[in-house]
Amino acid sequence: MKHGLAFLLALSFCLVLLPSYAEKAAETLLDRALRVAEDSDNLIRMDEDELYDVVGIAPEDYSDYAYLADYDALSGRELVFVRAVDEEAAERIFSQLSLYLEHRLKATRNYLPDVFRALSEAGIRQRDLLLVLSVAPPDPEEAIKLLQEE
Amino acid sequence: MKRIAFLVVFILLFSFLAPLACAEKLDDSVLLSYYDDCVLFGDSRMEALKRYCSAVRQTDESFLKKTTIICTSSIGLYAASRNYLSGDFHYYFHGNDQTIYNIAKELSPKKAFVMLGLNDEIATKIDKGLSWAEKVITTMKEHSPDTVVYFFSETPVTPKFEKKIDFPGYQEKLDEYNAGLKELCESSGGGYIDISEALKDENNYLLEEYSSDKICHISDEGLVIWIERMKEYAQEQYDAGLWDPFESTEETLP
Repeated sequence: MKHGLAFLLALSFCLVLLPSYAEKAAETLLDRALRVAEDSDNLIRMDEDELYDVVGIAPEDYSDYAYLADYDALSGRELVFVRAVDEEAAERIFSQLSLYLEHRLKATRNYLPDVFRALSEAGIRQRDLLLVLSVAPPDPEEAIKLLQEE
Repeated sequence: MKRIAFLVVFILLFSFLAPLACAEKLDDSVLLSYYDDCVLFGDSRMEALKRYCSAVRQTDESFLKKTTIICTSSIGLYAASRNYLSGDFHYYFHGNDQTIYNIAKELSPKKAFVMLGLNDEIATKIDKGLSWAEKVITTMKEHSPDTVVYFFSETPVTPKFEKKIDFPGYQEKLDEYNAGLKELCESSGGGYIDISEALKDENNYLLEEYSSDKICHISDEGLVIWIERMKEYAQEQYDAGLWDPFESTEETLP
């Protein structure tokens, strides 16, 4: 009887946990970014062509991505969040994000001082195959929160 | 006899005028297809246009989807016209610093549209500016011979811009530059799209409503005007028989 009850309890627990885990596992990086970014209502979703054209991240290097940017390009606000397909791809993506950040710093140094400052404070963070570049977020912990949920 | 003569004149007049009156107004999506497989190069103003297009594509995926817009906020016409990379101001495309010529070689666009000059304060150096524009046209022919270069007119500025750079009469000089640019484009086999006049107020300055910063950058309302002018230009090309969106043949400028 006791064993039966324990088993039923464990089963109920699993039945509650599984759907919520499945839901989390099904969440795309875009869903997560839109949920975590406090200003997501003001951000435009950029597509994979723009991710390649603007940032230089090739589509074969990732399995999922979120690329969000402020409608006002002069604000500098953007978020690039990518899941690499493997470690080599993650290295390439890290390199591309670094080059992109460097380009943005050069372009804004004597032109948009506020954006330059925000870019100077931004950094690329990585956890396993997940990489994120978060520029001028309203929540300075944004990148950490995005990676922590993995 | 008089009646017959009048009838003949009327029929002749009708035969001539009727086709003009019934000129086909193309749909917006057809007009914007004029910019398919094309590249637009620009600065912060083009960045605003790019973001505007991305925003529209949240609900209309096809909006200028086949047009590649490449921009760097601080770049000027001088830097973009160079056939080499130097300094901090150049385009970044597909993960590399690139000249507009290398980008055109990579993409092989039918047309390349350019809006640059604000960061050069180009109206203070009209002759130099026109020489840089000419360099873009001629160098592009060397690197991507099938790409026709078009220039957008430089957009107008507000009196605050003239005060900011301490150059009274800048807008008047900018009009002079645009006139020279138009002549250059048309005599070089290129194209010129004027968007300046549509953005002006009655004093010949950028209408403040069309400026996001009330100085020189373009607001959403101004961007709508810009897109409208692009559509109007495409319609003009169609009306002149220079472009047929319903055929697969390439457009050729006279």
